[in-house]
Amino acid sequence: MKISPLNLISTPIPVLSSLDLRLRVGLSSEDPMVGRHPTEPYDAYLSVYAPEGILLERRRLGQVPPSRRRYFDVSEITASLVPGVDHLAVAHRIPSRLISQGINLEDEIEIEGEPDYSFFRSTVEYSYTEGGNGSVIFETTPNLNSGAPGRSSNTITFTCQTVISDILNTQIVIIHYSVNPAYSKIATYGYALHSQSGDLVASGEVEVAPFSVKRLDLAQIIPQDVIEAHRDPKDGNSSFNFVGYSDDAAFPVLVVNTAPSLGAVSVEHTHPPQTYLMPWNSTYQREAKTAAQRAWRSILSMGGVRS
Amino acid sequence: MSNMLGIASKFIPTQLKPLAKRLYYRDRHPVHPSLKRFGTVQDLYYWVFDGNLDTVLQLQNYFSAFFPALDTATTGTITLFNTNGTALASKQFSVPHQGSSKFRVSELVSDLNIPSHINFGTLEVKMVIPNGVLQHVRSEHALYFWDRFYIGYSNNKGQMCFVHGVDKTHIYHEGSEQSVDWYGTTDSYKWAPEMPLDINDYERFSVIMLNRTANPSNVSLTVLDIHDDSLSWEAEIPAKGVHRFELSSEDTRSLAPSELRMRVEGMPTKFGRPMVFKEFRNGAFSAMHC
Repeated sequence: MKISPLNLISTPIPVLSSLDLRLRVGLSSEDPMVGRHPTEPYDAYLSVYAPEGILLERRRLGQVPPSRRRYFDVSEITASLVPGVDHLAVAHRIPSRLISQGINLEDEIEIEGEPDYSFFRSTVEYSYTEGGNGSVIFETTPNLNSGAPGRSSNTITFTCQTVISDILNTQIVIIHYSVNPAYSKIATYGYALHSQSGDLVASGEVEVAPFSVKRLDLAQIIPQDVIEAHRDPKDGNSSFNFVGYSDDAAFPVLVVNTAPSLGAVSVEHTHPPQTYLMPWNSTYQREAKTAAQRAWRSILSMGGVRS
Repeated sequence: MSNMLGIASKFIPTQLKPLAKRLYYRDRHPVHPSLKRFGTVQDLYYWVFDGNLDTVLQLQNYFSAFFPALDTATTGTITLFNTNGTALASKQFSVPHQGSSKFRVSELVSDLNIPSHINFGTLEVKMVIPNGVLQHVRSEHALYFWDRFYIGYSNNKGQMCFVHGVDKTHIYHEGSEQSVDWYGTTDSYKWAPEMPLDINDYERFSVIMLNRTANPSNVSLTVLDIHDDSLSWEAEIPAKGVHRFELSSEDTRSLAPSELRMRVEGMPTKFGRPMVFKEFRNGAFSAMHC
């Protein structure tokens, strides 16, 4: 099959400079599942995009030798290119044996069979200076927003990973990336937040440019009096249920919980909804997802419903 | 056999593949032979309550996300187990449509009279398929919901982090309280976490392994440095139990401390990979599935 070497193994990474979070990416030269691919050296590259989604630079980070792990400081590279603003970067790993054949990174190459690099993920690590770090591990899903005929791209997101207090805040980070460099769709992402009792407390829509990231700051989106009204007296935390959807694009979504005064940060991704469904008829996953998107659009266009 | 099927499927036009799959699996579920008509699949999660760390469950009604126009109010059960997989106590809860239910394990331990010396173990959450959802999906041949919720952890400083579920442990057929094991056998897999480990960054670094099968499992954790020097630790994890490998820079002082790599062997299930808990000297913490 033909594939861009940049798409063999990659991870789209939000650079969250506006939150003063340092970012490192940790890469491995081993198959995490052990046995599908013998360890070998990989060349690591970083694509850096402007906040508007324009590719600014693609840089070789270095090599990950066989049976090794390496951290690369992304913030150090991006700080001078895109200072103080959130934007997208993409970490790529390419077997060094392909690089040594003199391939052009931008050209598709012929690979025998379908290379199974599933679970070849990158460690995405945020930290505060002199503080702790929080990390998450994920990869670009195959054909993400490829725009290929017969492939639709859409999103349903839901998560409980929200907590707002005097010291904590939650950032929902929407990643708009594509394996197709010609991809140009500006996509809309709708969202709703419900209280623990099921009341709609906030909703909205954002547009996300291709090859960019969008950060939803929940302490800014949810009215302060609502946050106060839903504060748990035992721990001082206000928690809400988040749902997001898009008919336009498949968005990987990260949830970053920050406590800057403690020098503490944590991050986790959300699951694609189809993984929650185990139907006998596999087409039901797509049907259920599409029906849910339609229902959410209808409900939120009417201002939402109260339980 | 599966290889032959894979080859055969390449000759079937894309649009006909779902139909071909339905015909092939007409009498059984393609995901797991024990799945029948309707039900849920649940996993075990790690809980801890040690005086600093606590476990927080913010149980979102995930049915509402799929079926926002239906009444998805439902009920559920939380069961706490000790490190050996023995059930300690259970708690019933209800969760409104679009809502959630919140529990701290510290309170559950107190309310359910769990001995205070038990400070970590596993837990399972089982949410019942709401009646409205069940009626809505009745026309499907079969459908199971795999609850992959995010478990929360907090510390005394007020920080929180969340970690997602990774695997499966029990099948609950609709209408039955009895579980069926997802895994019929206890296997031995390897996992090579991609995360580079700079051990000096941490006051304590814990690697948590769960055994989701019905038999004990011997698991080893090896930490190697850039010179390929290594240290190993072993543990027998009881059936449905949990083990915590705890590391510090002192424990690994014979190794070069930066860009260490981990290797797990004897993992009882293919995707039952470890979770790491990172505790920092400034009091911050975070957790991550590998």
